[in-house]
Parts: sequence; structure tokens; C-alpha cells
Amino acid sequence: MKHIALSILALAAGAAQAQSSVQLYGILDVGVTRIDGYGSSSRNFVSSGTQVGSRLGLKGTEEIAPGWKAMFTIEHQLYADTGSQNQQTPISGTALPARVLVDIPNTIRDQLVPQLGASLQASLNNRFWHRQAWVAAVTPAGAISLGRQYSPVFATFGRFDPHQAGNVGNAFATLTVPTGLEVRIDNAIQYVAETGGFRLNAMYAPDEKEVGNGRFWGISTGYQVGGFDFGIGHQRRQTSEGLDSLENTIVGLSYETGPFKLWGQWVRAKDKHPVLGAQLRATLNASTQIPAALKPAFLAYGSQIATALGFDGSLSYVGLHYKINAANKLVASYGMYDDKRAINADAAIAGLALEHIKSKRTSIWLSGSYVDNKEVQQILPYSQGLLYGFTDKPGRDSSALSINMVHRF
Amino acid sequence: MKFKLGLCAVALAALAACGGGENNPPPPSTTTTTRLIAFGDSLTDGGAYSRGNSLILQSQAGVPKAAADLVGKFSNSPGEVWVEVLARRLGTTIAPERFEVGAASPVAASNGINSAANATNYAQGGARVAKLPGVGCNPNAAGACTAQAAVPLVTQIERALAKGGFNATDLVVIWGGANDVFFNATMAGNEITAASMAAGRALTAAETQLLVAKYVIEMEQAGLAAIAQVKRVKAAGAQRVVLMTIPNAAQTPFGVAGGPSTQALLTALSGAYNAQIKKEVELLDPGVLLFDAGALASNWYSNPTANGFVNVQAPVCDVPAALGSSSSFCFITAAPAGSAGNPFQRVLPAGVTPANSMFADGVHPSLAAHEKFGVAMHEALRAKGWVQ
Repeated sequence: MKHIALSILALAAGAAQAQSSVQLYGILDVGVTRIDGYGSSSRNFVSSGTQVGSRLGLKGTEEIAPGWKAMFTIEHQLYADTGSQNQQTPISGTALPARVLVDIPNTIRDQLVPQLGASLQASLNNRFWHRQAWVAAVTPAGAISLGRQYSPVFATFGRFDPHQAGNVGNAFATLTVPTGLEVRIDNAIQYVAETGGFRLNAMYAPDEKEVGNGRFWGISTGYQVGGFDFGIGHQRRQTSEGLDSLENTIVGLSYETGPFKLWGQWVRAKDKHPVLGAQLRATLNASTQIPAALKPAFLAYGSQIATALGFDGSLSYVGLHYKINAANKLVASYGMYDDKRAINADAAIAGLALEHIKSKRTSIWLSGSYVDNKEVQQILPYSQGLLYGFTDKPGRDSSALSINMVHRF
Repeated sequence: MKFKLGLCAVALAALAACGGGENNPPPPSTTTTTRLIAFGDSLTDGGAYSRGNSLILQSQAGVPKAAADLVGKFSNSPGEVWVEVLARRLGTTIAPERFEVGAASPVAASNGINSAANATNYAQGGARVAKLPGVGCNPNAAGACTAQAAVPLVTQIERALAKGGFNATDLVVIWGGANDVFFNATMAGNEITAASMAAGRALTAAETQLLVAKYVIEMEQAGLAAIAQVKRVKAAGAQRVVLMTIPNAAQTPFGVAGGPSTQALLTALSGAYNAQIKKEVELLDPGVLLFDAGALASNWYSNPTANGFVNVQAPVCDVPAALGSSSSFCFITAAPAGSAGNPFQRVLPAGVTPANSMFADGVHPSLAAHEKFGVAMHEALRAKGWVQ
């Protein structure tokens, strides 16, 4: 990545400040992706963010005193295929997987589904600084950062993900919709410390009394020495109603030797009260369309769907990097999601990718994936920040092939 | 590039090592049927109340024992109900559990055809899918049934499970929901009448619909309970399970007598049950044969001639109101209809016989209709590849 030190700040300040800098940076990742697993024929897309999400960012640091710094990052996500900051509608539209829609009376389901679809549609819309927006004070005793930031467990996931949180073969696909691992946390206060190979992240986000998300906290730690890297993390969300919502635990390990790097991680996801349920209950309680006599049934079945959209399972995810030569790197991965619930929505996903490195700034990627959806799962491959939706039938397998160019500046 | 992409695909297939593109429910491991097991209501009842009904006929109607012992099925006895037709065609038999009047549990074998061990027809007239009271319970002040004490299909399955699980050579048929229609139609009808009286006028269509919505949901929940029973018997080892939709009670002599508003209510309620079980199977097939008995009966009713019926209106039986007008007391003999030797056979117009009539009483199929049901079910099972 080439850093462009802007001189705007220096000019404005009227004096040269060697320790201050602001960088404009970005990534454009655009390619062609073919997805199988929905309908009778393949779906082809010119797609953005297959390997890494396309973005535009600004970041800066200012040294205030020796050992004391101010930092910031604001990062915009874009879909370079259209220029939109909002995700395109998934292949399956706003349909939900069949397994969450069973066991609901038709008349109630028919009224709840459009509301859930609207929630899903709304979740495709991103704010301008969707990816990151935070400011930090760095002190000799660690840094405090405030704003929208990566959650500790997701940061750990990315660190031990052979696909670095991208790629159609990413096993993260098993933890999406509504979400089995929160990526970014709003209103977050984070403490970060790094010393002698050790690292520690602790995050807290208060309940701001908005419908849906309540309090969040998370912590992660790790140690890196030589080719070894190790990390663990845990985080918990509450709904705005105070119910225990998504809880994640992670253990990750990587080891690099010669042209090889081995990756492995285990992620536990447990969510009996998704925040979606809190939103749905609030909407139903406020509804004047539903007769009072039927409201308890609507609330009960709404909660049932929300809970079914939750998680109680674990992802075991391993991978390998092999540097064939200076210009080519092979990435292989295999992830297995074990659903502990009675519905048993298990899935396995295999990914394979070849990075052809043209320069420091430009790579060409060839990648593919295969998702083995067990009896009731409906996962379609997922790439960074781009949800393709669900297969059209429970248990139908899916796959993706992609060729894309990643260009950084 | 193309070559490399191809390589990727090959390597991925090897990595995934999972084979099939779809994971459908596994097919049954055998087409041999040694036991036919039925859970249901009067549409399947093989004579659960036969002993009690015989005693009532003898004591209250002076019917000789030999003739009275012919009754018990909800049709123009003697003859086979559909599940017995099916059993015969599969080369087996199916015997009913039997109950005394008012008894909550089946009695031990007393007529030589059934015993606790071989009775696999658990269907009971009046049974609902999951709830009590059953239809025809006539509860006393304490809430106990004074007449037929039908237990729900859920309880029938419990009784079967208490004898042991199911296996690959069992064929299980589940047909409930019709009594949930009658029960909820009565509840909804009462509520509509009360609301109408309170308002001092007839309710608007929208007002009626709002009241009926609650009972439509009740029917949908009955459908969900039926699906749950399919999963339950499958979990207990059954591989071949048949679930049936219900005929529209509006298309019966009883429904017609009720008039258009009753028919609309019955159509809504039975339609809700059928739509629910169809939707559940469409969403996530538990590996069931969904037999659309509702569509079949509707086809007969709408196109009688094409289906071998001449009469789809007048019931074959004419049982006195004192006996509930129920065909469970009906027996047919060779004596002239309506004579002392054949008291319960209706005097039908020329050309109309029990063999070309669809109904035995206001709601129950004739033996002729039962025969057709049994044959149609057998054909559906063969088409599915579940029996030979």
C-alpha cells in the first residue's frame, strides 16, 4: 500500500509538522463471479469486493507529545460495479430460509414475512462511513479509540482467516443472516494495548436505548512469536430489551514456515434472542393492523422466527497458504459449521484461490468455492460485504467461481 | 485462465468431497408392509365404539344382537372403511382398538378380531388432531364426556408408542383435522351469533372475517400439530408416513343444509388446515406422502358422474335424531329399505343405490366412497414407490 501524505493539514497549520500525516487510501476489487445454487441456471455478476471490500478511506496520525498520539480512520465502502454504497438485492431477494418459516400458521407467516423482508432490505443499505469511523488517543499505557470499529472477535476471526475475511470460499458464509458474528460495533469504546508480542483489545458499547441493539462488550487477546500467532476472544450483545443476544467465542492459531502458512480457528456462535426479534416485537406491539386478540400469537410466532434466525453452533475452519513463487500464492480452506439446535442446519464450505501478484498494488485472483448444505441449510457463497442470499431449496448445495482484480492505492 | 478455472473447480469438488447436490429425505428401505397403522377420526375409525353402539341399539332401538353387532363404523355397515380396503390390497389386515361408551381407554379384546397387541387402527370418531374435547363428547358439568370420549391423534400415537416404536415395514397413515373444523365452526358460529345479537344487526363481512381469523389460526395450528405428528412417528422409526388433507365439510349434506354462510365458514376452516399442511411440506418436506383426499372428495362431489356416483346429496343412512343421526349406528341388510329388517337404510329414488351414493350420513363417506378412497390411496402409494 502506498501512503500518500497529504500536505493540506501542514499548510493549514502554517508550519511543517513532520510527525503528522493524513493518508488517502483505497481498494478497488472488481471481477466476474458465477454463482450456482439458485434456480436452474448459473447467475453471473460483475461484482465488487469478492476478495476484499472495495473502499475509500482516510486515516491520519498526529504526535502530540513523545509517546502520545491522536489517530483517526474513516472508511467508506463502495460497490465498484455500480458505484453504490448500498448492497445490491441478493439473488434470493428478501426471502428467508425455509427452516425459519416452518411451524408458523400461514396467516401469521404471511403478515410477518414482509416485515422481516423489509428488515433484510434495510440491512443492505450502508451508511457512508460504513466500514470504520473512529478516533483514538494513543498513550504509553495503550490506546483508547471511540466510534464504529471492528469487534474484538471479528478482528480475531480476520486475523486467523486464510481468506482474510474475503473470498467466495470464506467459511464466514456460515455465520451470516441476520448475523452469527458481529463485524462492526457502533458507539464503541475500545482499549488497545500491544507490547512484546502480546496484544489486548477490550471493547464496550453502551445501550443507547434504540430498538434492537442493547449493550455490547468484548475482549480479545493474543500472542505472536516467530512464525506462531495465537488469539482468543469473547463478546456478548444484549437486545434493547435486556435479553442475552449474540455471544461469540473464538480461538485462533496460525503458523508460518517457509512457503507455507497454516491457519485454524474455532468460532462459537450462540444467539437465542437476535436483535431482529426485539425490532420485530416493537413493530408488532405498535401495529394497529393486528387485532388485540391476535397480538399474543403474532408476538409469539414473531419471536419464534427471530429465534430460528439465531445461532447455536460452532464453526471449525482451517486453511493453508502456499507461496508457489514470488508471483503466485495458493489459498485453500475448509470450514465446517456444526449446528447444535434440533433443526440441525449444518454446512461445510471449501474454498480455493490463487493470487497472482502483478505488483505491490495489483493482484489477479482466481477463486472458487463449494458449499455442502446439509438437510435444511441454504447457504450461498458470500464475499466480503456482499450477501448473495440463500439457495432456493433446503439442502441444495451451491458454488461460486470468480476472477477478479484487486487494485490498491 | 479458463484452464485454471477448470482446475479450481476440480480441486474444489475434491475438497468438498460431499457428492450430491441436494439432500432430500432418504427413500424408504422397503416396499413390504407387515403393519398398517392408522391414526385418525371417524373417517378412519374401524369400530372403536362398536361394542357400545351395539348395546345402545339393542337396549334403545330393540335391534337384535346379530344385527346390532354389525355397527360401529361411521358408514353404511357392514363393510370396509378405506384403511381396511388398503390393508386388503397390501395383503394384510388392520384391526381397531375398541372402547366402551364413555371409556377413555380401549378395552381388551372381546370380539375376537382385535387385541391390544394387533389393534393398529387407533382412529376414533370425534378425535381432533391435538386438542380436547373431541366432537361428540357431550361433556357433563364436571367436563367429563358422557358420550364418545375421543382422544386426539397425539394421544393415539402415545398409545402406539407405548407398545413399541415403528419400523421399516410399517405403513403409517395420519388423517385428522375434520373434527377441528366442526369444533371451531361451532365456536366461531356461536361468537358470530353473540356479536350479532350484541350489535342488534347482522355483522358485515369484514367483522365476520375478523372473528373467524382466530379460528382460522386454530385450524392452521391443528395443521402444524399434524405435521409434528408426522415427524414424531418418523423419529420413532417409521419410514413411510402418509398425511392426508381433509374434504371440505361445506361439500357434504350437512354443509349444504347449513346454508351459504355456514358453508363459507366450513370452507375457510378446512381450507386453512389443508393449506397449512401443504405449505409445511412445500417449505421443508419431512419425507411424507401428502395425499390430497380433500381434492379427491371435491372432485367426486363436483363431477359425480365421471367418478361413478349418481347421488352426492342424500345420505344412504337415515338414522333417527335420537341416535345422533350418526351412521355409526347404521347397518344395511338385504331387506327392503326402511322395513323392520333394514330400519336405517334411506328409501332412495330409483336408480340410486348405496353403491353409487357418496355419503352414509351428513358428513361421512359411504362404503362405496371408502372403497374408492382405499384404491386411490393404494395407487398413490404405488406411484410414490412405497408399495409394490
